[in-house]
Amino acid sequence: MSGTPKNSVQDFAIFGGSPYFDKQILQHNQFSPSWAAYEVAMRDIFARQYYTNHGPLVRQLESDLQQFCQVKYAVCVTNGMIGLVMIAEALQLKGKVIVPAFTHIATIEAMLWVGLTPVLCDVDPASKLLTAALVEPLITEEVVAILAVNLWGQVCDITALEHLAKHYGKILVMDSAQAFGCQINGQPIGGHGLAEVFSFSYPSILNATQGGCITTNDDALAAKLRNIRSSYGAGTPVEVVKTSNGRMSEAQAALTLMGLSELNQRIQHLSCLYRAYQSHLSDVPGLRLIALPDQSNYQAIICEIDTYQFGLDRDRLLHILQAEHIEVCKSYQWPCSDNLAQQGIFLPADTTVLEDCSRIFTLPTGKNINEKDVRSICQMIAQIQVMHMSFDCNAEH
Amino acid sequence: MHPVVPKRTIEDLSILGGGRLFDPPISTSNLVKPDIERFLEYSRLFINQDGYQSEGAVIRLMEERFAAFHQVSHCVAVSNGFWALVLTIKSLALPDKSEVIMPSLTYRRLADVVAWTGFKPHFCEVDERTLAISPQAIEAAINDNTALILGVHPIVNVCDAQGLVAIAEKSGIPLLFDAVESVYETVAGKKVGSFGHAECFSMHASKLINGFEGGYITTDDASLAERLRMMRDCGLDAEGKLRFLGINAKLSEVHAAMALANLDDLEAQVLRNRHRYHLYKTGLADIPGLKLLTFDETEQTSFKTIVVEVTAAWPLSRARTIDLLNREGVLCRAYYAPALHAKPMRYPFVSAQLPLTDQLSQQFMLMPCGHLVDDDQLAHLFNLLRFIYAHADLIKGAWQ
Repeated sequence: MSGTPKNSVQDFAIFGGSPYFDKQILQHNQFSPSWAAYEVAMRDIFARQYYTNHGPLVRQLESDLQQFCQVKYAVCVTNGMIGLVMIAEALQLKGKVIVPAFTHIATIEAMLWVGLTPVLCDVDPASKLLTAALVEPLITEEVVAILAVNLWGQVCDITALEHLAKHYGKILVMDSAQAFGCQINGQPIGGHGLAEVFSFSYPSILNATQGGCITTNDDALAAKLRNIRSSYGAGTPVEVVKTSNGRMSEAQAALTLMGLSELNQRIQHLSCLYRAYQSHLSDVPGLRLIALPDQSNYQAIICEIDTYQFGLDRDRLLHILQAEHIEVCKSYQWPCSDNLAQQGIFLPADTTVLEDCSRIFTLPTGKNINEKDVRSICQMIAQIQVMHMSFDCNAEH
Repeated sequence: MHPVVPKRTIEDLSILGGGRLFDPPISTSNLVKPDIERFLEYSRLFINQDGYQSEGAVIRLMEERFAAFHQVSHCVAVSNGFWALVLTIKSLALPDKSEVIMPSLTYRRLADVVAWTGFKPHFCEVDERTLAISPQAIEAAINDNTALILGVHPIVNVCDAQGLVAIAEKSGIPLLFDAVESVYETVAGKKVGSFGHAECFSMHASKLINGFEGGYITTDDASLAERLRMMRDCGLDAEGKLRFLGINAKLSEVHAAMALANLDDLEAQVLRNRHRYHLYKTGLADIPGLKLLTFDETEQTSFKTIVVEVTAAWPLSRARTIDLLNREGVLCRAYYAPALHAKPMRYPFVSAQLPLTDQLSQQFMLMPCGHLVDDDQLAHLFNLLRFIYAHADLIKGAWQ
């Protein structure tokens, strides 16, 4: 996928030059099973004629995930957000939940579905993660739980958060939708807090098209979750207030199992790409990669731009790169305050979340990209920075 | 698979120590299997030798095909029928009201669906002939708090959809159909899927269209369709702004591919269902007390689900019959027992006295049907039923 280097501003696609890459470098993690493996798995399912309702593949997957995450229970579900809603429903909590202000809106909405009130907490400016120090001042009688998000393949300071939760008698749940495969002290995450949720939906490192899993070591919670999910795979019947149909099908389980078997190779590959970005962008002024820890899953490469130092704003840079068929994207957008404000949910005062959202973008990573591509992309970004005056909006034809 | 050994004496019955007639058991779950090559062909729309491709192509195709099938403008594909109903109820129900009128003689999770929407189930009667919600039943339940009418099609045939539409229009109350059990049916020649403000469907493997899991909503209302598309994606619009409270209710692409393959097979499936249904018709004809619910063949129908009424002429209670048959590997089920209004609920609801529903919920059984039930098995089943009838007194004597 190498293209012609850009020698002058006119070579750039927004000024009429040919795009550097012939076809779109797909942004999101495009790890997927091979067609051959997919076909084998589907023929196997068709032969067995067991399509859903807690079939052998879902059972196998739950067993494998329990082992992988070193947890007692893995409850496979339709997708991560349904999983989060199910946890909240199982706990039958009333009151407030501390949630990071910087997260996918799904984390916040999940609380609204069960009548809990999210209290948005500011995040660390560098990592955009919740910290115990930022959470503590928000803890009141009405707060019943803390929902921490392991964002972008990073892991929060779980020890400090668990300690804080225990000290105040609050429940800790982790939204690990983007963190499957991450490790802390050599141990995969999954067993922290009261429960964790993982996503196997695109664009996760384990991509089953849609899918998810809840992990917990708590017997009572696991029993409730299984009964809320469906009567199939309910195990010991326990009383629940209402069910939610959160089943995962055999097809979803098959796709997840295929991904799980390749997980280490995927993390290896993504780790190389991350280091390539780190090394090739280190000298570009105005750009900062979100630092991923050594035991990350490297699922996402996130970059923060300083408009003044770089010379262009985030949207302009994205526009230029997208024209070269490099699929860079805005990351989160604060999804418009009106609807949330109506429900009494406000951003914390003095937060930089809104500005952060306008400075952040994702860089391509995944199966379809190699280190040479990363080098080309970074060189191009460096060039754009050097020539930033020429990329001023007025200059475009 | 064990060979099927017919019963000769009552001691051969499983309840009295004998072996099971069917091992593995025969069930009421459709589990229809399409041509795998067709399924793999549709799969190539989202996965090929380069891995996952064009996100959404197979889902959009599925939506187009099902919209055309139901003769409506819009089909919105979602993760399952349960969340299809939750999202559509939330979209349609009058926000300043509190109750959803729905039948009690129906799917065991339907009240949970309503509970998720924040509205209260208001249970109503069904019609004795159709076993479904009727305009009269709705009339009796409508009040100033009514936010929505949830019209549920019954398992055999259809409800009076036109009557429901009339009463909804007269009262100004939104009308949503749960059409999970009537995918293929027509009402006065018009396709189910095209009535009311919207209709919800399921693609669970036990349903007419097996998508592994899945669901969809049909409607002619473009703004409703647009809203549902946002709600299934966390309520976000194309610019990433939050417009509605939403959830991840997206359909998995592999499920869409499966649904399409089964849609292609649907006409053939209906013929196979009809054949099975006719076997039941002749097989049960000479067995007193098991009255087959007949399909209305003046309309389009799927012939999928076999329901019998256990009448006074049948010598055992329904409960004992089900128990005896289950233990022979015949996984028949009570048709909607307990009725929803009779179950304890820990969320708000409007209670009702529904004597007809109470009575009807004691009378019917679902019988084995679907892709995995063959003619030989049915012949053995009918013989077993005849055997039970002939030896009923002995059985009752020996079985405590």
